[in-house]
Amino acid sequence: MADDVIVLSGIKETLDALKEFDKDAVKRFTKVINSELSGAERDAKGIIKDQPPMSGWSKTDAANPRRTTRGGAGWPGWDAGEIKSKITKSKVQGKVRGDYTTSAGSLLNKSAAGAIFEIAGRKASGTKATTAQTSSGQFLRTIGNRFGKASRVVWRVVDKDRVKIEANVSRALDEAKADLQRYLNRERA
Amino acid sequence: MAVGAVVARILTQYSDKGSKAAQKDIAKLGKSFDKFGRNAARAFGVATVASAAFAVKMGKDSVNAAIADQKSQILLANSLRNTTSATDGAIAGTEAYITQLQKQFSVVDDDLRPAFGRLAALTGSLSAAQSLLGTALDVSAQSGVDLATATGAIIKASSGQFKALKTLVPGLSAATIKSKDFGKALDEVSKATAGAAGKRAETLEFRLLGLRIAFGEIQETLGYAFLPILEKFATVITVKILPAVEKFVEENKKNLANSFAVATNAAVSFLTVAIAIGNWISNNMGIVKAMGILIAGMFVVGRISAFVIAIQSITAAMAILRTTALGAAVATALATGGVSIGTAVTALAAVGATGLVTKNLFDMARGNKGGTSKNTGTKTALDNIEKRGTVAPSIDFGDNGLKDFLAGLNKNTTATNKNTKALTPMDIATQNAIKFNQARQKALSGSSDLAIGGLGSRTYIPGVSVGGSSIGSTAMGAPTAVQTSMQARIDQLAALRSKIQKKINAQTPSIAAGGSVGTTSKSGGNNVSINVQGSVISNEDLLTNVRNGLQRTTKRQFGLPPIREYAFGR
Repeated sequence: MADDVIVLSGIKETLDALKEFDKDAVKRFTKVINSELSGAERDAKGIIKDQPPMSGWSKTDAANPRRTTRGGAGWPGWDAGEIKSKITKSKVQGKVRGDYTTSAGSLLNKSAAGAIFEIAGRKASGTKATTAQTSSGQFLRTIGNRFGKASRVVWRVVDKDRVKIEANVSRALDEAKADLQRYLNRERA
Repeated sequence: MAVGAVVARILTQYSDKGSKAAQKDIAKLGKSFDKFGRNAARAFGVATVASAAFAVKMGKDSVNAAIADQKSQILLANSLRNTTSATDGAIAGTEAYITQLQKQFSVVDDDLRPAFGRLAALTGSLSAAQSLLGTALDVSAQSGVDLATATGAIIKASSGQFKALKTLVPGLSAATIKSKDFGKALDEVSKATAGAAGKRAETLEFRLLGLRIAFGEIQETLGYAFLPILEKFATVITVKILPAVEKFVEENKKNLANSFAVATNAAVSFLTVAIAIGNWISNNMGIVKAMGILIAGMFVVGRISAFVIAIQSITAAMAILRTTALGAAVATALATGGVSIGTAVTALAAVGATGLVTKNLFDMARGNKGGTSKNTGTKTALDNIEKRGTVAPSIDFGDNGLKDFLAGLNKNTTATNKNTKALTPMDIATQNAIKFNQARQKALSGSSDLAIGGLGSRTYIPGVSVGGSSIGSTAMGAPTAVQTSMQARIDQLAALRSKIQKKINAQTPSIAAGGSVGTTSKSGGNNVSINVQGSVISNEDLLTNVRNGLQRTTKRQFGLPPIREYAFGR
């Protein structure tokens, strides 16, 4: 997971201003973002296979869900269709961080099974990996051996393609700003 | 956004909330300057106060900023001297370079100096460090990390660890990494990130940051202006104020110590007084009770004046009571034939003592020195002191009012103890009876000489036949009722004495010399057997001695000899 990212500034302001002069330019920029995000989404969905990661992972939800688990639901079944359908892209500006940044584009992995497959075995900050000889420990070891460390779906795609996506979006943004500046100069003239 | 979903952010944008916050800060700063300007435009006095208030705020922040900046400069200079043997001029040039970078790229000097120090330590050259710092700034701007992280990545790469630098600069080729050629890697990094710091500085965020930095520089400048003042102030405190305080303490340490001593003595005196009062109260509970009654009466009446009047009334009542008691006691004594004389004297003394205490209290209440009255041989209430065998301690007081108050009580106690020690109740009763009779005798005959006692002697009262059957007239005229009464009493005493003497004589054995002798007493006296032995001259001498001794013993025993039979030898 890479925390070192490029912060794009002025997307909203540029697009709002550019909308007054050239809506096509706005569409072009939006198309770039959507294209990049769609490619990432597609790559993420491509990671999800029809067969469960492990043979014991049922394709259907548990018939007798444990009441003690959250919401009364048991272990979620591996439904590849559902998992893929719930991997989506988003351009919603979420909560602003302390460094005054927010999301301009992201991938979401919203299904329970997909989330388990995504982050199973992720270590919390300052903790050690689970080494217990229990069923959960065996699960983590097996899924780790087969699919690598945590961040196996959307985060894998982001880590792999972020630089390219950021570069493409940044270039598109610069073009949009240049268009805006050109229109502004023309307006001033 | 789905709850519980895994969110992988791909694109990150700067939020306008950040801009708003920054603008808010800048606007606040501008308002502060505007306010300062408006205030400065006012009257000189008001402007002075306003500027002083502003200066307090600005001064505090400025001094803190200057202190931090000075610390940062000193650390960097020390690092450069140690690692590059830089001269003062080179260090000054470095400071100028850092200041230029700060203005150019909107990076605070507090970040630039540590980074430059680390790079200088790595390369051992100021020029190489400057070059690497420029690269680090570009890497930092390109990758979005802080300068310290970028600098750390370059330092690691210099030792063959390219992972961190590869993370920040993805364009770094694998071949270069594999070759572990730092120079080549640096070239690639410089090429990939060239101009990034400058571009970043042109953004709104960093332009705002540049304003903040500029404001910070202003504060630091002000702080540097304040520092000499603070140093001067500290010097004044160190050089003038503290020595003055030390001198004052040195010169006045005795007075200070005396002050503590006075305070300590006061506390000790207070405790002593408290203890003494406690002792006095325990030894004079009767007086305390009397005082308590008076004070209770004061509160009942409710006014001080009423209390004073009550004291006066009590004093007067005591005087009347004393006179009345005197007459009553004398009359009672006469009526009871002298048996009640002691009681009369006791009552009289009690009244006198109470009156004395009351008077002293009243005198003290008026501010007079207490204890001006003569004690008249008191007993009764104060006699309790003698019975307990205790002596009330003398009380020492620091307070004049309290001292006067209790001095009277002490005086009473002392006089009472003295009197009660010297005289027993019986002594007092006897003396007073004698005095009374002498006075009466003198009134009757002009002489206080009165012969009383003595076996067979005649009581001498002119014109009065004592022991006789009649009372004749005197030269002074017919006897008074009192004289008649006293004469009758004297006759009674004489008759009683005669009766006792007869009894003694009857019980005195007749002793004869020369062996066993029978008694001659009609009333069955004792027999005495005498055997002459030793160095006795004669039997007659022995008989005489024995007879005289028996008579003396009998007289002392008031006619009741304890030994009924004497045997001298066997």
